Amino acid sequence: MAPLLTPPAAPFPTVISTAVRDATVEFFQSFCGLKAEEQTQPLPERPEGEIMSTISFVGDIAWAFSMIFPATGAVALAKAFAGFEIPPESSDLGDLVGEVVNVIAGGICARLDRHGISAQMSLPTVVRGTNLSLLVPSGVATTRMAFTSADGIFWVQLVKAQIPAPLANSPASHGS
Amino acid sequence: MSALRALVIDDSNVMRNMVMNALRKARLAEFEFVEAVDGADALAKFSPAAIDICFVDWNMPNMTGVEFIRKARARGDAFHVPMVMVTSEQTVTKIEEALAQAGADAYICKPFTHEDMRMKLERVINKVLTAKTASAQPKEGFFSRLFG
Repeated sequence: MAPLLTPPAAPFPTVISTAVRDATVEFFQSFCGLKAEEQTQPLPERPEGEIMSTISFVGDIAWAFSMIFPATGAVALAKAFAGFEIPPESSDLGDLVGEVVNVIAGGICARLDRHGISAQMSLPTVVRGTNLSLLVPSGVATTRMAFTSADGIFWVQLVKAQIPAPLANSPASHGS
Repeated sequence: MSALRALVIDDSNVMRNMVMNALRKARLAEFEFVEAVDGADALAKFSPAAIDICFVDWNMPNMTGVEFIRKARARGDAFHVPMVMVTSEQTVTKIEEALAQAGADAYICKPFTHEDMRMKLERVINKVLTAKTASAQPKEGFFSRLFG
């Protein structure tokens, strides 16, 4: 019997990861007065109490973008971006992280548009918890980035949707 | 001068507060704010007699901002109420759709500063203030000619 093989993950499209990196750095620099730098070194343990917001994109490429902030970092981000204090326990803190991801997603779409890649974004969804991430099946193209700024660390995860070709081409998918 | 009644439409409570803060800081006029959480809520709260200007997000649940503008314009009695998009959508296609097709009067990309608001809204707000002042002045009619 032949062994079951896990398909190797395809590389995540560089044009998207570059757009995400550039839009993120520009947002923090221009609108929060913070220098966000991508980290390649091993990072410390993830703190307890995180907020994750995710936006998905459809168009020429289907993919999703998540940002994960420690609650303490989100409090500092609120002051820098919104200009007012939001307490850590407030539901408005999740609202703020969702809005930050929404604004960065707008910058990503504009960058992709300049490369001739069409992308329409969804509304952001927000969850609070610990050790948050998007669960990705094996073989799906995904990439993670970590950034540090004066207000602490945050993480980005990108996942490319896998559209199953046999389903897309099946007679059932064409209707009757 | 009475305050302008502004309908601020955004599904994010934080962003509605950011829009209202920026408008206060821009000092283009005094504002009284009415808030709506999506296009459907906005449509229920909108009336040309009660609202002088609308600030509209694009992507919202239930009804998008562009759908709200199309429906408000379709009433037929709200062409004079300026609709200002305030959105993170910033591609040329989206801007054209809002301004040329849906009937928005101005387009502000998120994130924004109060200086952005001042620069992009000065002409629109002045127009509303002028119209409001003119409508507040007593009309010259039979009695004013008789006794004036």
